[in-house]
Amino acid sequence: MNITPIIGLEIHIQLNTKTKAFCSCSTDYFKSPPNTYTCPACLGLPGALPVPNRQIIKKGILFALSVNATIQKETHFDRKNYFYPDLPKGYQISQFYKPLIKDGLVKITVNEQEKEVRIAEAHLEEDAAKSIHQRGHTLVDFNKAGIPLLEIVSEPDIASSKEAKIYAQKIQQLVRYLDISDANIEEGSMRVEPTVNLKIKDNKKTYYTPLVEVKNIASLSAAAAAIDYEIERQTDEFRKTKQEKNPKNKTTRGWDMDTKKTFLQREKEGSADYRYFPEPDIPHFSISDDFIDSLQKTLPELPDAKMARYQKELTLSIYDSSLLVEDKDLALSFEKALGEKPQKDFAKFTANLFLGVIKKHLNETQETIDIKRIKEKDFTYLFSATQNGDISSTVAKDVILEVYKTKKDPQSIIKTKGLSQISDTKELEKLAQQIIKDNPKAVEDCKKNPNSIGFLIGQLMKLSKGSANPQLAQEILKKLLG
Amino acid sequence: MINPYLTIPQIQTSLKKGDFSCQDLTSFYLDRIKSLDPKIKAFITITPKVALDKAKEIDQKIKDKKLLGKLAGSTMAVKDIYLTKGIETTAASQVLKGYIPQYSSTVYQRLVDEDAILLGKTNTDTFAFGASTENSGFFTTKNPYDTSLIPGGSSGGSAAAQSAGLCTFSLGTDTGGSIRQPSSLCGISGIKPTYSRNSRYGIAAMASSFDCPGAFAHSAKDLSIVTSVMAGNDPHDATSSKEVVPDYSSLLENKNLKGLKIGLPKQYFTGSIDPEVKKNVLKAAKTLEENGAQLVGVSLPSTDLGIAVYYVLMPCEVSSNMARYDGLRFGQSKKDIKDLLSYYLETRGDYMESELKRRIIIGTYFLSAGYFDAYYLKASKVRTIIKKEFQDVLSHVDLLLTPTSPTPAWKIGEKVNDPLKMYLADVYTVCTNVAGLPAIALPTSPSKTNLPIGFQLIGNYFKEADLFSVAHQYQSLTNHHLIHPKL
Repeated sequence: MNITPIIGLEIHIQLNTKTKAFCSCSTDYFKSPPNTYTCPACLGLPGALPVPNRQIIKKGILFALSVNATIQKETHFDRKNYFYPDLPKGYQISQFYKPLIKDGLVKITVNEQEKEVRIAEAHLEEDAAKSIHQRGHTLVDFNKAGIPLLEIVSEPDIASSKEAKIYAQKIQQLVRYLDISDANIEEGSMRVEPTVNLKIKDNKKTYYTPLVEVKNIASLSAAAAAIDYEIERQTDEFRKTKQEKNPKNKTTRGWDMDTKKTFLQREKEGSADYRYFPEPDIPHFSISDDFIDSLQKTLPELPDAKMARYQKELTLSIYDSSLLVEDKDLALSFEKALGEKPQKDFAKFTANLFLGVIKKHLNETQETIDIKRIKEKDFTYLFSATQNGDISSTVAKDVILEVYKTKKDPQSIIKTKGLSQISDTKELEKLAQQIIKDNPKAVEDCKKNPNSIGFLIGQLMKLSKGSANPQLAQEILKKLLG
Repeated sequence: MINPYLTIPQIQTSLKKGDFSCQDLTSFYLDRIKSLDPKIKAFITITPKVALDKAKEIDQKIKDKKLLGKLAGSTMAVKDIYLTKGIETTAASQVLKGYIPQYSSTVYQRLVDEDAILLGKTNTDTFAFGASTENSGFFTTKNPYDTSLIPGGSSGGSAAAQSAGLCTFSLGTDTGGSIRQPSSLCGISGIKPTYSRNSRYGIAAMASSFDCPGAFAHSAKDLSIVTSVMAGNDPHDATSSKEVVPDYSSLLENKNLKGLKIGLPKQYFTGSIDPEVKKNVLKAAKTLEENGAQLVGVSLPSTDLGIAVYYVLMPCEVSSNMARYDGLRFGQSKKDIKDLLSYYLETRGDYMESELKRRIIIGTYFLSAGYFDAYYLKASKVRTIIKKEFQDVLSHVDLLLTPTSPTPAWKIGEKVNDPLKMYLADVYTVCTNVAGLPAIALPTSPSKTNLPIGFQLIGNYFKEADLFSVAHQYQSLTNHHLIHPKL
């Protein structure tokens, strides 16, 4: 049996507008007391009407431009009808017949290979309220009702959980660069729902297993785990039942974080009938070329372009570039540190400080970068001090971390901590003699093999707390060892 | 003794002269409602306190010589699907019974802001689904001319209150004829403006792309005054027009009857029309002709498709608009139900009226997968054709004159078990809603049995000023609008 997973992702992102999609209630619902941000429209009171927020259309168009998609210029909203206690009007305002965005393309890199994932469509819609199950009762918080969403539907171009994760990260990165969403999965501002089935070749025949949509996924690693679980489960299932996909056997399964398994939620998804029809409360609208052009001009440099520029202009490696552009704020902080038209050496030096020190620190503390603490002059100072031999590159790393943490300037840190490089030959000779005395075995080795002098230099650097000028230290050691 | 049929300008003159105070006037109407409404049954809720408080406030303003609202002293009856903050609003349905709105509809608020006095909320077919008020979840309103007859509908409560002299003006909504048809059957004047002219915000929706708030009054002039206050863009209604609202009452003499081209669409004078209705409607046309207008025979070939288009698209929208009445947040709901599904089923099952259920079922069917193209989409295409036919004809004539209802008022119970017959009551009004055009309904000569007969003038988009002007001139030449029922 030859098995190829066929995976498509539906990604919902909450658009970070100030007000809801169809009323003027605040969207600042996260952790707010229940039902504080509501009005007749988002509560679905009799007679209330939706008024579309222009910002959601703007943000949708920005996304379309970022994935080279077609913008449907004549568009409208539709009603998706179904009953649920968290759906106050008994329908969701969405887009079905004319989604704002069609036919986009996202490039991802998997195992250093470039791969394209097509976006079938992306449309605007409103979020539902939140049900809270408590002591046998269900309470509904309408703060979330009417929060704008962009639903991005990929083609089933994804073939593994790894690709799915990379694609989802790419979408997350894009929407954050565009500043259209926080795309925070844990807080629910990004939701990932994979649809998985398998193409199975067996005895020269090809089979497709029934489609399964997986819900309740709370992180990207959970998405990957759920996909892997489904691939395995569907393989077993096919071995047992030989059941193939048909238009009526799509099912919905939930992901259980604790058991690391999916469980059946709804059968016969194919027969769900939402009775879509054009939303009569909102006039159909046209999007002008001028409006699109004006948004095109506001489009920031996107991660792919940024990465290419770092490689070409700054001669950074693919790896370093990709790490720097991963997070928009980190990239912008890096560029702030570089200033205008940086020298390549300075760029390399700064990149090392960002990746070797600042990013490491952020990872450890789980913080996001504070761009206000990044100043070009600190980096240029440290760079020239290192070039002049005033400080070692190790010291530069320690100092930049201290600068970032304490907001002090590097000069005063170097001064108070006595981190200036020792370029005084007499001082260094003293240290070198100490090292030779303490490491007789290494001295022997060095006499046999002059290349092993690195160990002694390392020891000397350590003894000087990193402040010895390594170039000079090497010369002196060589001289003393004769 | 106050004349119950005082018009808005007459009331304002009397208030200025000190003939009576606002409180006198309001008490007079409240007393009249108290004595006559048990017979007419126009009101679901009467609001004496709200009315008298407002009247007192206006009297104080008069005393203090403060600026008065444009409608100061005008009493109003409001169809019970307009939300009125703090005052029960039922849409004449058991499913919404007990609902006290947290906000008011825009047009109602605009009228109150101009010092109109609310007397109460009037009966309607449930959620405006009907042509007789027999579909009300509470009771049937009686025609003031003969209480064994229906008043028309769905805005029958407001029309009957108007006709019986229980208010200065009243509010209705016209989705397929629900203002014009009861105007005709109760012998009063009614306006259905262009779709989007008046905000729909805060009015329980029936069919969103057709619903049109409007008014009844004792004269076209009063309608023009009330419409100037009601109309205009509302930021809460995305479909409401930004078109400037003229001061209609200052333009009443503007449209010269001399040379006015009035189209008589042949499709509106054939078929099942009552011969006396046809005769009296043509008499109205004749009156206008004698005063300089030119009558032109025109054709609107798709007229007979109007009912079909309407009864496909309207229930589709209804089926979706009714979904929010799930008993979870407002209105009546069942207690001690075992699970969510039973809660929905029993609440909706027990408290929704049968016409409401019928339209939900029809609309749900039309929108179902596999049927959407054949029904909704096809009907939408025909809707475009009907619009185009009107536009073509209205590029040749100034306005159209047609009957409003094929017959005068009928017996209570006569059509209630035959929904299709009831739907045909809309035959002359519904195309205007399909196209979204404005129309004004006016009384012509009554029948031999003294039942009111009406006609309508249909204008081009946003040409309400022309309609008011021609209607006003017609009423200056005739006195049909001055005939009142004997009570």
